[in-house]
Parts: sequence; C-alpha cells; structure tokens
Amino acid sequence: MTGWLLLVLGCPGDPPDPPVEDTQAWPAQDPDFPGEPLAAPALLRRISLDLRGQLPQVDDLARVEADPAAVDDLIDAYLADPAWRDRLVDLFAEQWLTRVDGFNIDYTDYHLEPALEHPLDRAIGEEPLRLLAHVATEDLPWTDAVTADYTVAHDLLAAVWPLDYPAGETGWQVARYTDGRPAGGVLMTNGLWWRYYTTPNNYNRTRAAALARLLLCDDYLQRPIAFEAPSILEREDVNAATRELESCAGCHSTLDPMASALFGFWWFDLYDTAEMTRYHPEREQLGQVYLEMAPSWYGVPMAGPADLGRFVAADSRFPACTVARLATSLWRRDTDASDFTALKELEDYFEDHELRYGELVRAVLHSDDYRVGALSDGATDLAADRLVTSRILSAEQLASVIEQLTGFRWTWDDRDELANDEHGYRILAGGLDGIDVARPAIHPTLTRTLVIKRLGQAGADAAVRGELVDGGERLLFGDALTLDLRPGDEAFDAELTRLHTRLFGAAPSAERLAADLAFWTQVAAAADAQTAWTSLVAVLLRDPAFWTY
Amino acid sequence: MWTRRRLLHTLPGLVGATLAWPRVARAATGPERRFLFLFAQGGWDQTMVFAPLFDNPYVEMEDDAEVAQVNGLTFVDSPERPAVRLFFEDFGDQVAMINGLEARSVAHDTCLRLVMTGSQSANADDWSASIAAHSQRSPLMPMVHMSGPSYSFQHGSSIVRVGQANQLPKLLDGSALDESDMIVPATAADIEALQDQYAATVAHERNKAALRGRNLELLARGLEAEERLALLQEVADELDLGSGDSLTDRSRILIRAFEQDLSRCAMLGHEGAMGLSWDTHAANTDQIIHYQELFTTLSDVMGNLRDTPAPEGGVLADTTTVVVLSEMGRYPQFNGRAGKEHWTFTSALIMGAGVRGGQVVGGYDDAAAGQQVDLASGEPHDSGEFLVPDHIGATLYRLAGMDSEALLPGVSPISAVLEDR
Repeated sequence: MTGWLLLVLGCPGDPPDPPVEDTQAWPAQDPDFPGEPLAAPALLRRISLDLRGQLPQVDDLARVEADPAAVDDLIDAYLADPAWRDRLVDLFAEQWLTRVDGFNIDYTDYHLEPALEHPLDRAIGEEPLRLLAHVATEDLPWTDAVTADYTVAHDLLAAVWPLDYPAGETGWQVARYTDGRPAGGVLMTNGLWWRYYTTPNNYNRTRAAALARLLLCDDYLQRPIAFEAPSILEREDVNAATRELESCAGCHSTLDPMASALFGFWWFDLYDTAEMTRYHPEREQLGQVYLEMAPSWYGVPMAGPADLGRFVAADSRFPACTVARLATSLWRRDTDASDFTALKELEDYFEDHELRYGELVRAVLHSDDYRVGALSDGATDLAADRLVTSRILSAEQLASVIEQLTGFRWTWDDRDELANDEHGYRILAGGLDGIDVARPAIHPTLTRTLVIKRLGQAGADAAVRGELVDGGERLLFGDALTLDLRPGDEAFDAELTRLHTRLFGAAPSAERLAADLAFWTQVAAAADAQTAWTSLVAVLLRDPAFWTY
Repeated sequence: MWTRRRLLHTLPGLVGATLAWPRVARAATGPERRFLFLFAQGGWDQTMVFAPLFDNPYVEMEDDAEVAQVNGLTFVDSPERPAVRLFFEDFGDQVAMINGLEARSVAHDTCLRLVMTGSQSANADDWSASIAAHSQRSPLMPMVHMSGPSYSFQHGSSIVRVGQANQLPKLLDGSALDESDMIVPATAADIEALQDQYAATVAHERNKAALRGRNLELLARGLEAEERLALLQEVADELDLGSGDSLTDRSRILIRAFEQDLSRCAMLGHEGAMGLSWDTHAANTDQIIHYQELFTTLSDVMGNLRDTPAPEGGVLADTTTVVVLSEMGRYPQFNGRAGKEHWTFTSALIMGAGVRGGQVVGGYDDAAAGQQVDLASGEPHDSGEFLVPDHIGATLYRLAGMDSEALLPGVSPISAVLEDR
C-alpha cells in the first residue's frame, strides 16, 4: 500500500494544477509570497467549509476543476446560503468568547423548565454574535454593529427580557429593548455584558478593557507596565492611584472614562435577576461618582453611553481591527506586524467598499495567506512555521459536516453535544468554552481523535441504516449503491471513488481504492455488507484527509 | 519549521511510526519530575490558614483561631479544621508556603488565567501544559486534566482532558453514544478493532506523504494521536479514569497514572466541599469545610506518593512535586452577608520533590497586601520583589529542569523554594 497517497496528493515532480485566476481587483498579492496556492477543487473545499461548515458537492468540485474561475461564482452562492450566517456566528464566537456554558443568571431565575437550561445559555451567549452576523450578512455598513438601535434576539430571550420581539415569530429575529437603553449595537446587548461582567467594585473597567480589545484590538492587559502595588483597601485610594501613579494612569486615564459610559449596565448585585436583566438609565451618570471620571473616548468627551457606539464607529482602529480579526479567523493564525501591508490593503479595500463585511470576506478569501496550500521550494523556515497551509476542522465544523453528510447530529436531550462541555464534548473535540479554553485547537489531540472516531461511527451508522437499509434520502451515498453490490461491481467501485471525492475533494489512487476494498471485504466476511459499509465510512471520516482542509 | 528531523525531537514516538512507541521512548531517558496540581477554585480565604494577621486592625480573623507553628511553618490553626494541623504535622517539612502572591486582578476568569499562565493572553499555555510538553519521555498522557483550570494553545496536544462530567471514559468505551437522541447501535469489539487498525494504517500512509511545514505537522500529530489513543484504550480499564466522586478518589486516579508512567503532569480542581465553591461572597464559614476537605486530600496525596512505587524505582514521592493554588484570596473584612469579596493577594503551597520544605516565603503587610521578598532567602525585604504568578511559573520550570529564563525572560524563580539551588 506504500505510496498510494502520493497519487492522491500529487507527486513532487508533477506539474501543479493551475491555480485559480483572479479577474477582479482584489488587494494586490505578494509576488514573493513563499507559498503555493491550492488547486481549485481543494480551494473550493476550504471555502465551503469556512463559509458553510459543509463540503462542496461533487458536481461543484468538477466544475471548478474544469473552470477555476467558477470559484468566485460559488463564493457568491455560499455567501447567500443561510449556513453562512451560522458559520459566521461560530467564527465570531472564537473571538468574542460569549458562547459559555453558564451565566450568573440561569433558567431557574426565570422559572423556566430544566430543558431550557442549555438553550437559554446558548441564546444569551449568541445574542451579540447574531447581531454581528446580521449586520454582516444583510450587507449593512459594519458600523451598524456598534450603532444599531436594535438587537437580534431569540424567542427564548424575548420571553424573559424587556424586548419588543415580532409577534408570531420564533428563532432569531431583529428586536428592540424596551428598557431605555440607547442605541449601540453589540455594546448595548445583555449577552455581551453578562459575559464580560464586572465586580461591583471594579466599576466596569473589565468591560471597558473587553470593548477596547474586541473592537479596537487595543488590549490593555497586554501593555508592558511595571508597577508596585500600593496597599489599597478603600475605593478613594484606588481612584487616587489610578490618576496619580504614572504606571496606573497610563491605562486608567483612557480606560476609566470609557468604563464610565457603561454604568447603565452596572449592577449592585452580581446574581440578582432584575438587576442584570434590565438596563438602568438612571445609573448612567454614576461613573462620575464611583470612578470620579466623566465619560470620554480617548480624551474626547462623550455626552454619555449614547455616544459610545458612534465613537467606536468613528475610530480608525475599528475597521483595522475588524480586518485583523477576520484575517485571523480565515487565515487560522494570529496576525502580527509583518502582515501590516496585507492588512492595510484589506482595510483600504474594506473602506472603499463602504465597510460591507461580505466584501471584506471576499477579499480575504482571495488573499495569499488564505489560499496557500503548500510551501514554495525556497520557503524559509520562518515562512514554514508561519503559513497555515492546512487546517483542522473545528468542533462546530465537525458537527455540521457530519450532519450534512449523514443526517446525524449528536444531541442528547436536545442538547448539542459538540456545543457544550457540562455533559458534551466541545473542548474534547478541540472547541473552546470561552472561559478556560479561549482558542480552538490548532493540532489534533487524543481526545479530538476519539470524538471523531465516535462521531464517525455514529454518522456512518446513520447514513448506512438510513439510506441503504431504510431507503431514506441519499445524503452520502449515490443512488446506484445497494447492499447487494460487491467489490468488483462497477457501481460499487464507482461509489467508492465518488465517496473519496465527496469527502476529500480528490479521487483515490488505485492503491488506496484497493486497500479500501480489502478492508470492506474483511469486515463483510466478519459480519455483513451493512457493517462493512458502516465501518468503511467510519474510517473514511477518521482519515486525516477528511479532518484537514 | 516542521521537518522530519524536527519530528524526531518533538514526537519521538513517530520514529518508525510504531505503535510500540511510548515504551521505547521511556527507556531512553532517566526519571524526570512529575507535577500534581490541586486548584481551589473560587478564591480561598488566606486568613484561615496562610496569613495569621491577628494583630492587624484591618483584618477580621476568626474568633476561635490562633497562630500555630509546626515543622517550621507558621499558620492559622483552628479546632474546626483539624486536617490542616494534621497535614502540617505529617508533611510540613516538605512544604514551602508562599504568601503575598499578587494575582493582579479580582475577576475569577482573569485571575485563573493569570495564576496559571502569568498572562492574560488567550495564546498562553499554562505551567502544567508547558511542563508536560517539555517532557523528554513523551508519556502517553503528558498532562491529564481531571478538572480545574487548564489553559493551552501551542501545547494543546499534550493535554488529555477527562471532561467535567467524565466524558473521556465514556468516549473510550463507546458508551458515550448510548447518550444520543438518535439511537446508535454499539459497534462490536472485533469490528471496532478492525476499524482502529485500518484507521491507523490510513493515518500512517497520509503521514508518509506529507513533506514539510503545517501539512506535515498536522498529519504527524494526527498519527501520534491515533497511536496514543490505541494505547490508552489498552490501559483504560486498569486506569479507570471515571471512578470515584470525591477529591481524594480523583487524586488517587492521577497518582495511578503516575505510577504507571502514563503522565508527567496532572490537574485536579477543588470546587469546595460538596461543590459549594470557595467563592464565599456569603457564608465565609464554608471555607472551614473546604479547607478541611482539601487538607484531608493533601494528606492522602502525600501519603500515597510516599507509599507508591515509582516506575523507575524508589517511590513517587522522590520525583513528584505537588502544587496547590487558588486564583485569588478574599478581602480581609466581612461584607454584609458574612461573606468576603475578592482580594488580589493570595497564597500558594509547593511541596514534595525538589522543594525546600518547612518554610514560609513572603508575607502580608499591614494592609494585607503582599510584601516584597528576597527570592534567595524567601524573607520579606524592602529591596526584594513583589511576588506574582510568573515567579511561581519560573520556580516550577526550574523544578521541572527547564530553562526558566528562556521561557520567562527576566523572571527569577523563588530560589528559596528550590532544594537544589
């Protein structure tokens, strides 16, 4: 069997497949870029997984192989797919970290039934992400993310929060708070400030730091400061220190005035339902009492929280940060100073296109760093460490792809087992819980491998039973396949080739095909054809060519 | 860069890609220190054990507590938590108590990350992950995370997480799929064995085809994970990761992993007795039973390490360092609910192998804040350094035989704690 994969992946001496040609005026690409782009089918597979969490159809793979420029048409189609919105929520969740398993207030505080525990937590955590995804997918100016006079709420939230939610609707809908909070997009969502809350005596500083980090990429906690801790037992002493000690004032002179604009969300008690559920317009001025600071934005006075979103939107760091965050999401690596030129070009492109997020996505999808699939011959070690020529499927992608292929979604008591850690397998699958694990896994791990194994077994069983035994809709298998067929039958072998193309984006080598057939035959001899197909699909779903892209 | 040469150094098991790998690798080097972390989650009240601030007018101490000295340690003794005294009497000579450590925040998630990594960065690996990843022996589960905080990014593949509801054992034996709304029939053992065998072959073949860079790295680590998984499934029944409910039971599982040479590091979180949490904003007296349970377990841990043979000879106590942390302390005065709010200054315990025990390092000043410390002597000194989590990290790295200066530039270990300075 040795060597059969070389045929799948391409031999070093083979002429490379033609890369996708760009015909639009995307940001300039670096002629000295030390990587080689993916061939069109592999690129389409990557784009489809990133934008929809799904694999491309075999026909579409064939289409772009024949006409690489067709990738752009499919990008348009994917961006119009409802799955893009869900996928965008997943991508935002990786950075905003609001999709946590629990908040200080839970279903019991609202006298809801236990079955709603997880759905409620999920709805709270996704509120800001859904608003961001709404602005992005509705082709609205990205500044709406911080200035909109509405939120996007689930009907579960509408039942317990002061929201004007459209009558007769369910699920995620545009809705408006009715508790007097000003317009401010995500800055005025409960979901954001329930995740980034403050202890009563820290007076919103934690929130201000989160705001600056998430929206401006200005991380106060990463600033290189050295200070000697004063003995502080009284609030007055703290405030004096933040103003008078140089090492403190460097951050607090801008942080505290920002925090001062958030006192409508300030709670006297961290666990009080009424306190946390409602915004408190009457407290908006309390920052001037507790922090002894009037609201201002990096030195420019603000009238109050109603100005907050407008100041964020007008800050030049806001679009730059948006670009850097999206690049991090799609390049699957952190950006740094060496990306300055590429990011600046993307930022210019974003601004030239009126801050439409979809256009920015298109531009990033055309960047060298996104399309890279291999190192150039002369690539330096630095480039080799840096370029993400291959990625692994996230926990969310694993769940959605398996569902797309087999119809199997791992739920238990209607709780998505790849979306929680209290009972499920999110972190074990390489996902993040937003608290302890704040980055998705970048490498395969033992537990992730084990989750994929079980997920593959379950998905394979669902597909084989549902399609080949019960005669249900064909999601995974071609119409010609039946359990009566045997290796050597033309339809059998053709189906195996089609499966490889479907799952891996490439047809198998002859050696691999032979190996798969031998495995199928071995299992069929030990059990039966149904078990053989189930086992073969289970192994295909464990194949690194499936979980990398 | 990920090249095959680098793989030989970082993933020794992949040399020849044999499923017999860990055992081969173990024979190559001598024993290295193991680390067991216990973490009191929620913020312990330093004035109940570590900080005898009875004469401080700003600090509200318990009525029935008093200063005690045992085995060179000065601590707060109370008849309501005898396990503390018993522990210090039996093992105090192995314990370095570190006082006045500043977490530098008062928010739980921030403090947890700071205390375990020294950084707020989401990209930081915690002390345990970093030590595990630097193992020269490549154990099967370099770091076992039973519960408690765990932060990893680059070293994520070194961590094996059991899951907060014991999910790993269920995944291993397949019973996890019994808990699915869509019925999933169990896979017969002989069929599953065939699947595993072929999946390993596929991973191996894919790995051979990769050339360099990230493609190679992912495939190599994927193969490594498949191999580790196969071995873990062999020992899972004996290890019994899902057994026991109590803190003591869970600690014994981790010691079993050490005994079988399966791990270098382990983390066990303690959410307080009966899971009531150390975060006592109300009813601070709950800390009494939390400390009682924690120190009962600590005695059990140290006793077991003393009595359990090590795979390389001797006993586990010879090579195991135990680290006990909490993300913050508690405000020195009571609030209106007989509770205590958060306090950025806290304490820590480092004990066992490599540690100069029977000493208190650092201290609290008149405002219950950490004092500057002479790192060499451990004594408070005006020209010393304020203790922060990085000092703990550097000390642990040094105990682990790692280059702490390279990993934490400019941060000195607390050399007073080190037996071998």
